[in-house]
Amino acid sequence: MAPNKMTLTYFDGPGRAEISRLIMAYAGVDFEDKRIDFAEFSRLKPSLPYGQLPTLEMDGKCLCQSTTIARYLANKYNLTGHCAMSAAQADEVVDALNDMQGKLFPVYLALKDPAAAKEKLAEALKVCTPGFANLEKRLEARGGQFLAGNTLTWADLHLHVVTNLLVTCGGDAALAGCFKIKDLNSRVAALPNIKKWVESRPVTKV
Amino acid sequence: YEDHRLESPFINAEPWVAYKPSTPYGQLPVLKDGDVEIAQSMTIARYVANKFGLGGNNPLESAQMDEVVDALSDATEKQYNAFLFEKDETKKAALQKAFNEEVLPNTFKNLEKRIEGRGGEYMAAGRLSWADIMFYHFAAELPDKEVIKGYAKLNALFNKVANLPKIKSWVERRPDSAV
Repeated sequence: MAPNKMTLTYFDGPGRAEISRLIMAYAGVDFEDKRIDFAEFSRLKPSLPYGQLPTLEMDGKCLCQSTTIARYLANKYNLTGHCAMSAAQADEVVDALNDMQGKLFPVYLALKDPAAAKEKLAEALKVCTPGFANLEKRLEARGGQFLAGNTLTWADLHLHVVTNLLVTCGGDAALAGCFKIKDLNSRVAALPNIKKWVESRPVTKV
Repeated sequence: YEDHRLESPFINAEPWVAYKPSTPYGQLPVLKDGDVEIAQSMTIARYVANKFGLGGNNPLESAQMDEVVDALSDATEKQYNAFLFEKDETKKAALQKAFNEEVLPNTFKNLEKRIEGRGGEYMAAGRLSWADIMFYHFAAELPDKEVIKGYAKLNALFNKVANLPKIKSWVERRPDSAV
């Protein structure tokens, strides 16, 4: 009997689930990309282990916490590098990116109100500008091609997610001197499975 | 291992200001293992846990540990914001109230259910892991020591970890600090 498809449940948008979607797209995994609205979420919430999304369901088990889900999938589909140190280097970059992503979410949520968004962006850039500068240096120090283990890992995919968010929020200025990051992003975007996913995924209206 | 401590920047900014540019992300902690250096607190903890047998033996076990740690990190961040980072007294009081009345009870309620669903004794994989130690640390740092007693399985786990000989001896001999 073939194993059932995994189901990733989240809202309709990139947010905290896109990294997991990208990992599975890259690995060519056929998964259920379940997107629910707020009304459905309110109904579901009491039954969720931490009252939050995303969740990953597989073989009757439910796993929560966005970064945990992504790391589990990255391990499953060989995107954590070749050894414990590479895996740790990937984790490290993901943690740093999560710090920045956390500061950008309030901007994303305020985009309908340009004045509020501008103010929140200024706050977010206080973290993101040095943040991306540090990652540029980290990338250079690790050979300039990939963020961890000198091979493609989920950290490089997460970079792609967070820089997209940065640009959506109007924060391109933070990438000004980050030539190697921009180069890595182009290479990730050009990977056939990533390109296909980006072209075919549901478009979210902000 | 070498437990290198810098004076808290809340007390004296100089040592940290001097050290900061040499850190990968302008933050602490940082771990050096031979020639290699890694940053990010949870990454360091996970790396050390895996190295010394307190991590998962397969991806699912590791994920179950990560999940609990992530949930505790969310709550820790909110506590840090209230206790440490927020300077405005009114906002600070509001954040602390929200933490005490919503964040903490929800976190403990969810974890009590989670631990019950996983055998009732440990947070993950049916044995002691870094998730249990992280939980112990989180609960031990809470200003109100009574809250945990309202959650039977969590309280039992807390006491179990607290009484592990090596944990107990570390807690007794470690340097005191405000942070």
